[in-house]
Amino acid sequence: MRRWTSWIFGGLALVFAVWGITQYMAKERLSTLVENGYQRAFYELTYNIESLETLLAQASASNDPKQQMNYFSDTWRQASAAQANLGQLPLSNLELANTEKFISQLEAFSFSTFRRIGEGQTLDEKAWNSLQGFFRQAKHIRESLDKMQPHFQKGPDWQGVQRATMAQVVRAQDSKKRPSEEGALESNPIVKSFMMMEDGLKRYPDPDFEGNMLNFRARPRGFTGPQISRQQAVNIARKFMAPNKRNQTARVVGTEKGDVPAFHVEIVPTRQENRRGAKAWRTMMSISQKGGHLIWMLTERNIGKPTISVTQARARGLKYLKDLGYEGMESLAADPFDGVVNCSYVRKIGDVWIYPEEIKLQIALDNGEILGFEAMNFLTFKGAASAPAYPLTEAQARARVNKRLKIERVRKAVILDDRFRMVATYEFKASLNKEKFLVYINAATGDEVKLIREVPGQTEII
Amino acid sequence: MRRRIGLFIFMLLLAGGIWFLTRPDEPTVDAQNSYTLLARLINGEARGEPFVGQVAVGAVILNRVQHPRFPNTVAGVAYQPGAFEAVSRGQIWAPVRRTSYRAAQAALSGWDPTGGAIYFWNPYKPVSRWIWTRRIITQIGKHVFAR
Repeated sequence: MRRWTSWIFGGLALVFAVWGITQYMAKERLSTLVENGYQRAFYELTYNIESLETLLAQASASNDPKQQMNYFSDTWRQASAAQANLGQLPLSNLELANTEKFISQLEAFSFSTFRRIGEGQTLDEKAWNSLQGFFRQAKHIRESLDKMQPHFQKGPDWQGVQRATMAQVVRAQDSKKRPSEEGALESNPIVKSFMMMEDGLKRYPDPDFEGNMLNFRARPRGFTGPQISRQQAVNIARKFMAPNKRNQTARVVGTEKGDVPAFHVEIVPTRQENRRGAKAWRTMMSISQKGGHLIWMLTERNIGKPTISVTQARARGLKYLKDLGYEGMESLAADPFDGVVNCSYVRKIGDVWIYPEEIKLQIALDNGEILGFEAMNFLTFKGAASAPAYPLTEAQARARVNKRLKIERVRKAVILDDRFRMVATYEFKASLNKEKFLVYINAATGDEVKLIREVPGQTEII
Repeated sequence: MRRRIGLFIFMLLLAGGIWFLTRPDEPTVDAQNSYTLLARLINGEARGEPFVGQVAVGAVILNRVQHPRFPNTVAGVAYQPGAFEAVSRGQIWAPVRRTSYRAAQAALSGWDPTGGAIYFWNPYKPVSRWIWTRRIITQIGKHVFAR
């Protein structure tokens, strides 16, 4: 009897041992796989930074614009690869703002310098000085990465890095306390090296260069008027809800402290029993504290079967805007989706469409209610293009469009360039075989400033 | 024998029922990759949040894509190691609800309820210490949004 049970226990022990070993080996294999992925990203990052250091040195030494263009386009490519590889390392809980800023600034600098040399300009004193600044930073990062190599002697431990940075994780109520966890960070040699690299970058001044749009934000022009109170915000919210004809209660539930301070107003059914269940709805609005402009509105509710067409919805939206005092708007595009349609409306001055002054409405196709409103662009660029000039005639602009395109429609449109400046253009809607395009020709210079390929199923400009 | 067939049919019905109850809502627009991934991420990160809160999470992801210090694609932002709990724990592969698709659509169409935030977190859950040094813009539902 005893012999029999001991056989069973022995057998079970063997089974468990085999199972345990298999599990352990599987875990080790997966762990190695993960480490290999991280280590590859690290080695590639090192390669990218080494290349950047060399390319920046070559660009400073070269005297031939064609060669310099090669160096700057390679710099651009290596910088964007460096950003991608850095993004794959498990360091997202670590503050690496300076390293990330170096890479993105270098990307912007090399791109704009490449373009300027392409336009026939030479590397001026200012650009050359920034180039030196970037070179010194690249050198510092490369040296820091080199110093990390010995830590990988016994194999990488990126999962340990992740654990160390996660040890910093705290609850809100403890966030004021000074960290004992800093120790956990410092104890991991890789984390420590990255922190030292980041710290060292603070010694280098920010290179100043043309085409640095990284911190650029268009200054909002449309937020004019006096400061409003919470009660006024509620009243404004009611005005925008009025066309929906419901019994509703509105109150301020929060504020927004971004570039444009705003009140968040919540609108819900007055009757408690209508706040839950299939017929429940809830609308949120953001109303600027200066001037009381509606920035956005979003409504949450179940959407029924469509009863109105997209064309009817577009007309309804246009009337809604007009009734609320948004004059001179024209329906530009409509994008139906799951029982609702997103319609965009832009300002039209004479026969010129001002695309940046755009308001988007989300309209329910079951009863035509206005569910959503979005006017950040409209409020930012309001009035920036009051009298757009059109020195070139349509025929002159047409001559600048690729001859292979079949032009289907022309319209005057003001668009934004990559520096948020208003540019008067002729917009040509054209096709090449079955592909549809929108081509924008600068109305002053005749340059092709923008070309959009329209993808079927996505928003189409009407 | 008969009992076996009965059991078989029962199992079949059971499996069908389970499939029916757990099947994801299908989107009604052509699925672009970034749009679907965005909807999955919203679904995983902002489940149970008000609709505005879901759009807000979508907006933060898109703001990161635009931001120079983050990767330039939705996938790059979504899969930054440790950046999103829903990705680390695999919740982005949960069945996607209809509202998440709607929220993704709104965010892609330009709605940004966060005033340009690039971080969000639940203040009642443990988070990285340095994240509290960011400038908080607003709170929507259970999440605070910051730059």
